[in-house]
Amino acid sequence: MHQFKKGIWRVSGGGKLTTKILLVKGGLDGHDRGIQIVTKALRDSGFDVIYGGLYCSPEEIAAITIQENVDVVGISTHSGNHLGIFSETIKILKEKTNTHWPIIGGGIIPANDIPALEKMGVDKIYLPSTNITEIVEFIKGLKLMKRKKESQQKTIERILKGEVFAAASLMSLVEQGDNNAKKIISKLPDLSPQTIVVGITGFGGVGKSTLINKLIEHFRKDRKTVGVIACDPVSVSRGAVMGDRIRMKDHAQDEGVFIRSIVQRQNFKGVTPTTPSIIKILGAMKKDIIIVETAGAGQENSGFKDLVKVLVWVSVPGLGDKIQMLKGGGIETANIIVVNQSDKAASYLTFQDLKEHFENTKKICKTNSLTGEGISELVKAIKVV
Amino acid sequence: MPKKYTPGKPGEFPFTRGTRSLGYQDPKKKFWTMRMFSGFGSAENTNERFKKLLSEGETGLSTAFDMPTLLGLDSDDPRAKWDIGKGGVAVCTLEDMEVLFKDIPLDKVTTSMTINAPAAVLLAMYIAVAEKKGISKNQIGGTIQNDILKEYIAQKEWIFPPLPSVRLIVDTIEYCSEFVPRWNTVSISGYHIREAGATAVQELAFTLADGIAYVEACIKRGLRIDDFASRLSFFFDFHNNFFEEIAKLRAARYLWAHIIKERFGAQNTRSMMCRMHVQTAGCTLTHQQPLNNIVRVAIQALGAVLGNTQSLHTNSYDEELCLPSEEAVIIALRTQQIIAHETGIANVPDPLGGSPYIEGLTKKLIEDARDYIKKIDDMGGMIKAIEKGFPQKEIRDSAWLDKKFQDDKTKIVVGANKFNDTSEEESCGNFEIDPQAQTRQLERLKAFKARKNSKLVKESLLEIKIAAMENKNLMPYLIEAVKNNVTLGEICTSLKKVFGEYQEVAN
Ligand SMILES: Nc1nc2c(ncn2[C@@H]2O[C@H](COP(=O)(O)OP(=O)(O)OP(=O)(O)O)[C@@H](O)[C@H]2O)c(=O)[nH]1
Ligand SMILES: [Mg+2]
Repeated sequence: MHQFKKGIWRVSGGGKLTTKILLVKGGLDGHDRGIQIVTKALRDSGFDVIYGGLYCSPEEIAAITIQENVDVVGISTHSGNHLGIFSETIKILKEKTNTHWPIIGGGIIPANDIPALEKMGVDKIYLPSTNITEIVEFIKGLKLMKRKKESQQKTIERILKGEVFAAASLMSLVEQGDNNAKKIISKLPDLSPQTIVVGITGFGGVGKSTLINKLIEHFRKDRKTVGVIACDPVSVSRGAVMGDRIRMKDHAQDEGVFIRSIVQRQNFKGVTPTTPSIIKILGAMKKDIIIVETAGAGQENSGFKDLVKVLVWVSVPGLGDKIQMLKGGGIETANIIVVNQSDKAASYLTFQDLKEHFENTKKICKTNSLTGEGISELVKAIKVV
Repeated sequence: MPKKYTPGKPGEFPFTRGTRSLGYQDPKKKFWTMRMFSGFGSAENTNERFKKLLSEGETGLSTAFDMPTLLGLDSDDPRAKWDIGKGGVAVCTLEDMEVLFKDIPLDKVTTSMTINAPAAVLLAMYIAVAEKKGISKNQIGGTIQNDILKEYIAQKEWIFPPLPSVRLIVDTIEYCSEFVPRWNTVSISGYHIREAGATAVQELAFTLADGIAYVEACIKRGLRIDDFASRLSFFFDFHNNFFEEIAKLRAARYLWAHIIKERFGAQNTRSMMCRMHVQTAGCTLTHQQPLNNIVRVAIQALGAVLGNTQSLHTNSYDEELCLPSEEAVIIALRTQQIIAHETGIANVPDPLGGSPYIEGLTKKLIEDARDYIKKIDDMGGMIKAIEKGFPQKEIRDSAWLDKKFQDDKTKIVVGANKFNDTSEEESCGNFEIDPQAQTRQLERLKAFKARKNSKLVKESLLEIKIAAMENKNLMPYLIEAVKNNVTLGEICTSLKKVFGEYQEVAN
């Protein structure tokens, strides 16, 4: 285990990075006033925040931490479950990574319990009256952990074996522009022709992530392993809240699923310049299906089709003129168009409109991503492309 | 609603000045109900605390359930693991409920149960326990919180999506108005909305808009307003801004009376009364210098009484630090008793009525809340507004501002961001949950499940599912099921299959 005398170290190491923080509610507890404020404050301070949502179990928290390779884990709890939630999360993280991850807590936590929490490895507890700047300062003060030197060959072996921690760490190095990482990527095997890379694009809020959640469920029933890259836009503060993952929560604990959130600081074909490398890593981990969700949709996405095998454009009922507007944009390159939210009125009209407009050049599907209706049709369509 | 604000007299429409003409001197019920929220560990532990509180002069019981119970999970569900008996008592079976109310005369005390998403099931258990004790449904009295809309808005403890959830609430209202006439079917709650960061106006407006949504759903079911409205009650927060909070309680009564009368055409004046329970504001307490909280609670409690509440919970000074200790709970109860018996404040009805400042504030809150309610009406009602994330966002913005003002010290919190140099030791009244509570609960549940008749259980569950699909009133089926030893978790799992589950709206 990595042990250091002084300071708290972030695991994700390396270069001129941005800081990635996971914030969750631990256990069965819905009091989210504090965590919402902290989420916004950290984003406004330029950090990338993954909001993991309500009701997270220690297993889920640990899995997200490792897959996303976050710099800090923040757990909020108000229901008196803190001793159990923190100790179990820390225990699982140690078992899986042999590393101490910076971990902070907040909520209603009795002063009497703080020594016990510190002893088990919680770095800091912030009670409700904490000035947010204290949390920001704590995160800025984290030291960078030097990685144990490992040969490129060894890293590649671990990734080929499907080791989550190794793959997730390599992804972070890629995001930080690390040169050694670039070399490792170039030595990873190319994607196998059987791997299906599916791109999911469409306007904000149409239900892309929710749809992916159902796709994962479908593919898992089929015993396929799945990798997901979810891309979110950056905010004016240069920080971001990555909210796609919360829609895919059903699969947080599934070892056959790897989800990675990325922030679009520089547009590259609708995603980020690092996306091809991350796809390659997921491929090397032998994921059968790799799904990529774009940050936005429209002209700036041209070229996205080059990165994927199947491009799915997600729309919703009542888009109307917007479809016309998109002529010549990304939608032309899509293989499949989905009318999501088929439970909403007018979905049939939109479906017919699209059918007429694209005649028989594209497959048009209808889905309800809340119930899963229409998903098997979509999967069939994906498979025949 | 009239253009001109007329507060009226105490005990008269629109009840701005209180629902009773004699105020707290009404010989039928002197003062107010002193109801202290409690519940922790296993049913045995809470039963003991209940008896202690009754012997100390408390006049009504109030139950806090643990998180798994609030989410409709049995204690043996893997997700329940870290939360059993924390922050409330675990109740999964009729047997748990019997232990909880052992030796307590359910025909004499009234019980309030803070339970929302699975409220219908817990009510079914309470009815079944009473019947086992030989007390019939029409003799028992109490309240279930049963207010799911504020869960989506603020407290975020839900099971099913809004529409089937509201249908369950209408089921309880319909059933109780016929068979359990002394039961308060919904406690429409502003408390949690406020604690999540809302302003006074937002608390007022969103709570009343929730009330409107329930009334509309009942009317759609075919119920007559005067058959159920008098059993709806309210639950407000009492925050720090003393006069504004008093005005808020008055404005709530004024607005509700007009809404019920004019919008829903009620004839019976009892239907128009906004009866309320008030709790002092947990979010104003500080973990620093915790004894200061006794003073905060006393001031807020005083305000709640001046605002003419029917029922009051005073917070314990140590609850920012830990589960309230018995000592702290007793001080909180004594605070109410001092106000009632020593200060003379309760001698005349609504002593503040007519004060230009109070009446002016009341009028302002009425107008501002009305604007908000109009906005929500224009969106198509509260359920639609929730789907759009409207109240959630408004509250988040208010909470954000509040935090900002605390951080930059525009807003002073004594002992926390100012006058905090005396670093008083934050000691906590070393109250800990009985370490055996969880084991005891799990063992009882295991034995219970081993004992029961699985054929009967399956049949009951099937009947519940069919009734749910056929839109029948579920209450009789739930009562039958709990009597047949079906557990809370089993019932909720079956209902999820019919109703679906609610997903967090994140934005
Ligand atoms: N009624 C209905 N709502 C849906 C459906 N699919 C998704 N939603 C809801 O739509 C909202 C947005 O869903 P997301 O999956 O976050 O949408 P997105 O396209 O990934 O959003 P961005 O990543 O922010 O662009 C959520 O509240 C979902 O619950 C559907 O089929 N029917
Ligand atoms: Mg998304």
